[in-house]
Amino acid sequence: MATTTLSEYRVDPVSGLKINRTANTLVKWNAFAAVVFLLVGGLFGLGVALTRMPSVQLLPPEMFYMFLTAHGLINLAVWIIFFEMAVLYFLGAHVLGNRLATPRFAWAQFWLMLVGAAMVAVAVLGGNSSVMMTSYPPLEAAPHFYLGLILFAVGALIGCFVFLGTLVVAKKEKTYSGSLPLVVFGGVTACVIAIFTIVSGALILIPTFIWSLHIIDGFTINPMMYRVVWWAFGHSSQQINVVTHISIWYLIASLVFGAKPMSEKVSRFAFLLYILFLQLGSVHHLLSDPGLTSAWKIFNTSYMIYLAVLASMIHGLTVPGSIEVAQRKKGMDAGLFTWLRKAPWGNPVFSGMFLSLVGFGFIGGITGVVMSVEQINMIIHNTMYLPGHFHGTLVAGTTMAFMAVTYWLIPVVFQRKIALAGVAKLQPYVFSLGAWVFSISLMGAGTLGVQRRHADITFAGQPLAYEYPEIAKGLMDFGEIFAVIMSVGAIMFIIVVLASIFAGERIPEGSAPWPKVEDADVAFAKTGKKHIGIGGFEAPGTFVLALILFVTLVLYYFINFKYLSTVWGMS
Amino acid sequence: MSESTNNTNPHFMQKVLDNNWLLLALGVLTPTVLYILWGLWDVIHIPMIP
Repeated sequence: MATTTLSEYRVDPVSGLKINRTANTLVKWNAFAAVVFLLVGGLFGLGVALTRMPSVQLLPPEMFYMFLTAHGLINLAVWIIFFEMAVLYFLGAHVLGNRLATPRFAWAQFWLMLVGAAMVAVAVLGGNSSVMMTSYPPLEAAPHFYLGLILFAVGALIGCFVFLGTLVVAKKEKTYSGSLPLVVFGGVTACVIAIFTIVSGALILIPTFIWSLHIIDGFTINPMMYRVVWWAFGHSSQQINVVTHISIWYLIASLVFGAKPMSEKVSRFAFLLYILFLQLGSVHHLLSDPGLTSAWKIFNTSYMIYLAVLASMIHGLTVPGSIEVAQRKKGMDAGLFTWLRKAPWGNPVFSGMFLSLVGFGFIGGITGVVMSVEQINMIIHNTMYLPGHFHGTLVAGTTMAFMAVTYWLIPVVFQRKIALAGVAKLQPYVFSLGAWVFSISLMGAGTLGVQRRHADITFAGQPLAYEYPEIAKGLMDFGEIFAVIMSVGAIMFIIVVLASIFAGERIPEGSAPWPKVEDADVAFAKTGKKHIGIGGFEAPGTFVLALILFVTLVLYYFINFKYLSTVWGMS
Repeated sequence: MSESTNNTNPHFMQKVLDNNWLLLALGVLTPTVLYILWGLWDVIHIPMIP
């Protein structure tokens, strides 16, 4: 029963999409809130970075733990989940030319998440909830810390069901036919993982909230059970990001190059593998917990998770592969890498996406796979290796992809041209340089044993002092310099976004459509050629890149097992 | 539930991939059983100190 009128929609001149105004307002507010939280969380992160530099040590310990808790929660959860809500509404409504199922519930999502995030921020900045993102009992935070997290999670859960409802509406009102477009299917995958994640969070945070109120005598939380259930929330929340940014890679490949997935069936199957197995990666946080059996640890991390890794390999091959095929069809068919050399590196939508792909694959991805091996995990568990790894996935991968797509979303959603185009052009490089070197340096320091979650790695004045090798301190100093460079990249992004939204040249409604990127198949038909590629391979360059990734992974396994053999006293 | 406008009979696997609610059930049940329930089972069965 369609009750919409024509004025509820506009046709966007930039993308050609039919845009529902109500849905667009919600996309705008979620995206805007995300960027504001990125700024706030990033400033806390800068404080953390400058304290972890052994030669600076900016903050006293109490402030450090407060900053670390705020940075972790705001950047790992709030910025990213607000942005994901914007992406889900964009996919469900705008990509399908559809309306949002229940805008009132969508507003409830926004306000619950905002109020929840504010409550957590007040609790942390109040100074009595510096319990880190994980908030492991018996560390106890103020009750409104847990309540804020619960409200935030409930809001996100509502958002997920609004998205699923929107897909039902689209099917009923026939705004698409057949299967969902691949990028929207990626959104469904992210949504499914998000629902598991959020329900797990509620399952553990509700009793923890009750425990923090002290209203039931003798009621306590078993720390081991807490860790098991919390990580179903804590790690899976990062898997939502992985799926969302991979969907964004597909979207950008299609937008910038008119590319089509090399095999849509295979890509969909890879998303199904994520739905089934990606959340099981949570186990790698518990590999050194003595109470859990090796059967549970090994079945999940050494068997099931490789099915999700296979899916990542498929996406990592098919996204650049589809770009290569599109470029070759458009005439850039010479040699192995002409297609890549002649890609639009000055367009931040593409450069950001490709840097995200490489950074995620080589830094976040490889290290995540290797650290999931129980034996190797023993060398680096609870060290700086962990922040190094997840800055490789979440910053170099997810955040970079979100930034890249924002440069495309601003004209479409906010109807403004990108202001400060020169800064935008440079931003992905500055941000990625900072994120990559920062991540690698921290992983180096972690491999040398430098503990995470500690304000002072020199342990000055502590009764049980421990002296790390000088190279570890050097790596921490070096890495944190690049954390500052990464912060500069983030600030450049925020300046471009705010300048574009508030002062960018307006794109009037009804203005002439922007030139479309030519479909690769149409361009190929014009060339009259029959084949592309080399020696029967349509995407030989991507094949070589995939081999390089594979060899790097094998070498990295070897290096870590070799290192393990040297730290093992009996060798 | 109205069928899509396509008249062709999709492959079984395509039907699975097109059913968002089935995907939701699979995506929640698999990690709940393999990760949460099995993990909690392990914790509950840690032997008590005699």
